Amino acid sequence: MTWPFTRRARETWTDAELLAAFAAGDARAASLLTERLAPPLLRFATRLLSDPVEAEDVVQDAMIKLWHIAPDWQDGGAKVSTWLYQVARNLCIDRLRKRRGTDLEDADQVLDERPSVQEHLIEKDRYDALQMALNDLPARQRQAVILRHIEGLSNPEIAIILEIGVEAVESLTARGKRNLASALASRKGELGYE
Amino acid sequence: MSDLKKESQAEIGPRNDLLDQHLADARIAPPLPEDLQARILADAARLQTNRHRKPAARDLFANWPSVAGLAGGALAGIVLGFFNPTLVDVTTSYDDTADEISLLEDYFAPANPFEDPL
Repeated sequence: MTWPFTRRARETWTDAELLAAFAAGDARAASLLTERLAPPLLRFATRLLSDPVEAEDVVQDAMIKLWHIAPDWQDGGAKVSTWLYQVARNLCIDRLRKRRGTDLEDADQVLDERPSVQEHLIEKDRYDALQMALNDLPARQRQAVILRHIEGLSNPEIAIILEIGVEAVESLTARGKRNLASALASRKGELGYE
Repeated sequence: MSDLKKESQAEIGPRNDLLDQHLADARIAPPLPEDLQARILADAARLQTNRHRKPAARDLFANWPSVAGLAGGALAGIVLGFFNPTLVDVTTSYDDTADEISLLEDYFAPANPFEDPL
């Protein structure tokens, strides 16, 4: 694969091919990778952290790790996006651990006052309702449900990210979704679904 | 109906429109804030520049002390190995006081103190 290529040509490339092009010095490959990978990563991190600003920092840190690993990336293993979700998840867990012990009431207040990225796209009440229901799930259930039902990843991909077996992923997503359904059922009218 | 939706319903049993609607809404990816995109691309550009810049002259000679040491050691080895062996004194006396001893001459023609010179 040689470069330069036109942007249109690059758009057909896989993430791994773009990463190889970036490692070879193609600056436009970085732009395309960012457009492709960063938005879903931001959505994922925002759901895990309930904090858009912290989620942005996580996305930036995860992308830096991607740029660093580019020259050594081995195509044929895990997908670039799967690897990136795994990195983002670990960064989120680190931040959640650090956050433990801080006043949760203050954190909620900050979140309420900060304009949410998702508010531009979906109604705030519905977003918050789902977020609250997700927050009530155990950590691994929450991660599995987000990856499966919001990010649309396959169970084997989620198994890699969470470092567990595929059967455990199936169990986590099933239980998580049942818990979500029961948490949201009582708010159906309130959220305008009737 | 998408595979994902079918699977979701199979997982939780009865149809749950509310949850499916919630999750469908949540799948919409937010646009990437411009400043975040700029930060990410700035990181990428910085790393790419560092990786592909030509090595400066100071980098080329950064290890000169170790190179000079190795070269000096090699030169000394060559000198000792191939040049004049007289540098090594093989006739040094035993205690620095006696006469020098030549192994060849003294062995085959020993002096006899009892021999009558007449």
